[in-house]
Amino acid sequence: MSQTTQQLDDRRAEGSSRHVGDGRTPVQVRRRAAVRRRVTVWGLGVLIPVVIVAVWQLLSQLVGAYLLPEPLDVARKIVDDASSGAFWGDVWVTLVEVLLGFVLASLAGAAAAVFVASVPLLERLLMPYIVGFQTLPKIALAPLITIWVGYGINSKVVITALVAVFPVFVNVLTGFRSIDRDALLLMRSLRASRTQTFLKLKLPAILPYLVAGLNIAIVFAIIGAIVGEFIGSSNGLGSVILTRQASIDVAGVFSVLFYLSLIGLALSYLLEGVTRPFLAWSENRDS
Amino acid sequence: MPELTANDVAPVEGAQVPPSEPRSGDEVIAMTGIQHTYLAGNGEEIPAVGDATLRVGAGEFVSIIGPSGCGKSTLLKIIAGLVHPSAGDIRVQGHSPADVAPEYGLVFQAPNLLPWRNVAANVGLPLEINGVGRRDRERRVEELLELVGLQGFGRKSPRELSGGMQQRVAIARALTTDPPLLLMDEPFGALDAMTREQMNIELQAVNAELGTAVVMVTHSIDEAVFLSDRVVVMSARPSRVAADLPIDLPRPRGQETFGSAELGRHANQVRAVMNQAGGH
Repeated sequence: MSQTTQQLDDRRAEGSSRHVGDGRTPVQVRRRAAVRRRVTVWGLGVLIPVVIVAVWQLLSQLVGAYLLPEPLDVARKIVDDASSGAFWGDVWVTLVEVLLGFVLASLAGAAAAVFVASVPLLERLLMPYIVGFQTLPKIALAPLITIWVGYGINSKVVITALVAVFPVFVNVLTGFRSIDRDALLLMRSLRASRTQTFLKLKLPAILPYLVAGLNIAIVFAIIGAIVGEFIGSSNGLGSVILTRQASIDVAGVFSVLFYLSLIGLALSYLLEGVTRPFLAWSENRDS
Repeated sequence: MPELTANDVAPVEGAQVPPSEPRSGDEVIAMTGIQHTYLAGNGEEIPAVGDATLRVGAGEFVSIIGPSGCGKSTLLKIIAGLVHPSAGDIRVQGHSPADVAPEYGLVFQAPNLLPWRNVAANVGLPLEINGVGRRDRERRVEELLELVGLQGFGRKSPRELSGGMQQRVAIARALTTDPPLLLMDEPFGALDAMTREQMNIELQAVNAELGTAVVMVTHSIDEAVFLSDRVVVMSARPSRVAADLPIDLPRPRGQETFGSAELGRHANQVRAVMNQAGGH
């Protein structure tokens, strides 16, 4: 129930001021119910992590702390990593790979989609290849890229971009296809130039699709960077995972996973914050 | 299709005349023997427009009515220069639309507003494309919003408006450049009956005030009769002009015109021609 309706209902209830059995008005009853509901939500919010940690603790004692470290050990490792300069260096390397790959993928994907969409014949000719390449797991190309580009940061950036480019490309292409035919006819009837049609109709129309593609791409970029580092690298969070795996430092691996999800969350929120102002018009009215 | 009785046919006879002369001397549209054939997906040639000859004078309101798929919308696109006819001659304001892009406003069945622009920016779009400066644009948009009864709505988003209001925005947009010709493709087809009548009355007032020639494709006989100086009935595909009926109802026409016996008589005449021309 929306707030205004709630208030209205409350006022109406006060007007009638009928009393329930124990002398409380219906308003009081309803307010108390609302408070109870809020307490329940808060309680569950606290309870769920507590239960998870408790079960984790229990499991770790069951299977042995060397396979599943205790929550406290992981927490300690996370704090240790945070105060280690070398670790931040690895975070930095991965972050650079992710961001460079992401930017490269975004530019290339969007540009390719704009190009393909502007030549209908090209789109029809290329579609089978695009679909075919899309179904190929790009990660499988990582070893090839390493052969071609080498073991430095470049190969990680290329792998990252390769993994992240398709969601951008396919989404933008879908965006172009979704443009209303009558809207295009309108632009023709107004004798708009190609540039005007692009800037005033096509670009705003594909924007929600582009942003949806970017949101997937940023997640894919992190996968790409980590896998790239798995294939062969001496720094970055992917290589930290491998090193810690080699020394069976499970708590250490958990710590890296924690930082990776932190990076993912931060980048996603950042992207959303940057793109939201452009998309106000396409948001659901009821939300 | 119901069988025709003598009564049905009787009033039609007077209508089987060559296209009536436009109200004024200046012709906005002159099309002679227009034919249009399009290629279907399977490569089959489909003759949509068989032979259309039509004249529209300055400030004249002409409705085109006919069975579904008779090429009414194609005819509108030919006038707009968006489709080139297979054969025949067409002049809009004295030029071939293929050579000189004609000046016209276009209104579709859907309002077709750009959702990322507010109402004022939608109405101002044609001016923006023509490179009109911002201050002139704002002044003109204000005028037009007032004309269609939407003053104060400029900053609203299109989706905050009802269907009828959105279509008024579309009409305002089509009129921003003050074109001598307005082309409308079933503009009120998606509206409920009440809103539709209201919109008809308002469009009639706007047309009277601006003196813009209008060619409107519609499926509603009452709407066609209420608004038009002439109702052009097309036959089934490949379509020809089956009748060109002058509507001499006095203007201004208002709410009371809708229920009038005069309008009913004209509507029956149109209905009879349509039945004769091959059902709908």
